[in-house]
Amino acid sequence: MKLTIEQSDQYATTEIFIKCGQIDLTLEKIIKEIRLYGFSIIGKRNGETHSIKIENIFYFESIDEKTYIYCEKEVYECAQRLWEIEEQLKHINFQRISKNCIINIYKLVSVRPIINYRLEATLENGEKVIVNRNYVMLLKQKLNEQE
Amino acid sequence: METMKYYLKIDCYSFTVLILINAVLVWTGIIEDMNISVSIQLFIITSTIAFLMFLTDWLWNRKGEGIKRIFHIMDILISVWLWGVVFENISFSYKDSIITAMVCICTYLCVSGVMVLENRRDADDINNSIKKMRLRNKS
Repeated sequence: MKLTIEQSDQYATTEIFIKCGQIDLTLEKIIKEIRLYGFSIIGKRNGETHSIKIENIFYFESIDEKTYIYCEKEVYECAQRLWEIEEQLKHINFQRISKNCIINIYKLVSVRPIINYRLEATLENGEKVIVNRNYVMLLKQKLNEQE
Repeated sequence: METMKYYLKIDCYSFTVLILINAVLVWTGIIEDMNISVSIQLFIITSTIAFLMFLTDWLWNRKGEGIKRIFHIMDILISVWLWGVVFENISFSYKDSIITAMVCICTYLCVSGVMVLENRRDADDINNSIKKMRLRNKS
């Protein structure tokens, strides 16, 4: 695949132009990721509405039917349900790891086995989340897709 | 699907371990020779155990890993003794009951050990993939 990048002050907006014979699975994935470039999710914090860039999100968690967005330090409340978020982000670097949590796999640092055959995942900000045993295989598959 | 796979795995591991323990017991002369029908009975027993463990995990949502493990051992003993009565292949004498309980606990510990190793291997695989992903994302 040939990659050409033209960088100049004369371009006010970023434009991505793809020339291809046919769209294969890899290209389809790249297109999906590009479409999400600049994609953001609305979150509320202290009564204020914020637009949160997807790459700044560490994980989503659902507690008592409320969805929360966890960034490096801040936590926002989100109006969307966890399954809706999962549906939107399933083709990119986000993976459900338990009934109530979806993580950004790019923020994963390591995992370690814990009791009841689950895994404890450590994120870049030091936070720890639990990977339920039913989602271990899916997480493995998602990470393998990235290779 | 993943849940079903997990309990099927428990079923297969426990059946393998149980067959192995029985083979050792036959070899050492503690129990009589094992035939095909006993193997099928053992498979029915291990499948019942896996199903009871699924029910226990489903009903027991509270924290407390120790209590859950005690329930799991009870699931095993209940299945073994109930099917033992149905198949008329169990004796409730003091000695035989101790042997049966010991075999059940050994099987449980072996299967748990295998599951722990598998969990560790999954963690290693994931950590390797994470390392590769992070290296690629950095470059």
